Amino acid sequence: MGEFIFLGLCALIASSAIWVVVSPNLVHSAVSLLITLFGVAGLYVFLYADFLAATQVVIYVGGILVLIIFGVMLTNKIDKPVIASDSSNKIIGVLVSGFIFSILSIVILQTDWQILPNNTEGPSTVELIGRLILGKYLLPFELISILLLAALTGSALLARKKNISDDLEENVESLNLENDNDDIDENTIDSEEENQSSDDQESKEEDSNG
Amino acid sequence: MDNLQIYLLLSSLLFSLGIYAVISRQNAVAILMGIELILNSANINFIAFNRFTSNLHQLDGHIFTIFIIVLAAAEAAVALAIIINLFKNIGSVNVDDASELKG
Repeated sequence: MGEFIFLGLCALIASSAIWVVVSPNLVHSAVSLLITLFGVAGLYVFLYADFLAATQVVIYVGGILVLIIFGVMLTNKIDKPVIASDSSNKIIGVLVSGFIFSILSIVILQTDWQILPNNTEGPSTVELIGRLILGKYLLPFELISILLLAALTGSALLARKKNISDDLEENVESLNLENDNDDIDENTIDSEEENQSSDDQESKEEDSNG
Repeated sequence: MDNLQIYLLLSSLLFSLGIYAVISRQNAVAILMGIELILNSANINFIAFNRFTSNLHQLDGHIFTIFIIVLAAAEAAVALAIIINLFKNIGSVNVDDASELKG
């Protein structure tokens, strides 16, 4: 029974992952990615990684995939009935990825893996992961929390409609424009004065002639 | 299901499909989906090796996977912010249209 479920899960993951990369409709790709991520969470259950299966569902399916679907919806004209995603370089892509897959599968099938026996039953992984995070891996954990904070703050700043630096630039530009206008006014005044002075000279010349 | 090679083959299939998406897709969001597939294949590899080639109480592969998931979340957020800015600037998310720096 478990074997059947496992093989069905593998087939589900493979087929939905293929549909993610070949589907002409971007929304279909996103839904296929949802199925793939759920399938990978199922694989984690088969690998006795219960905490990671829950994490996969919560973060990938609940967070990243929703973010991707938001991205799909925000970056397309809403009046199109089909959100298309074209593909180019198909031949090169098939060649490169097929080459990588064949090399990897040859290596995987020919290597004599050293598998430790008696490693099927165990306690829940949550307690052990918690001890590792707050013990051996404390510094990477804190660093990655700072990294996540910085990345999320930066992306929120990037995706804002209009940021503060734009306001500053617009103010500077409008100030520059006002200065330019002043220069133009001064120039016109100067030229008018020159005209007046030349008129005066001409009238003086006329007077002397008269 | 108690065979390491099936997991490795599945993860290498996901990896090569992600490479194919990165090479051939033109929509930036679809390329991002390919990158998510690649990160998931790395996660499967970590957990499979941790399950089959280490002791019961060593869960270092799980910790690596948690870190990769966090990095994937940060990467997806930043990439989508960049893609939205790209759409605002050039009106499309086709990566072939973003060729301003091309000579």
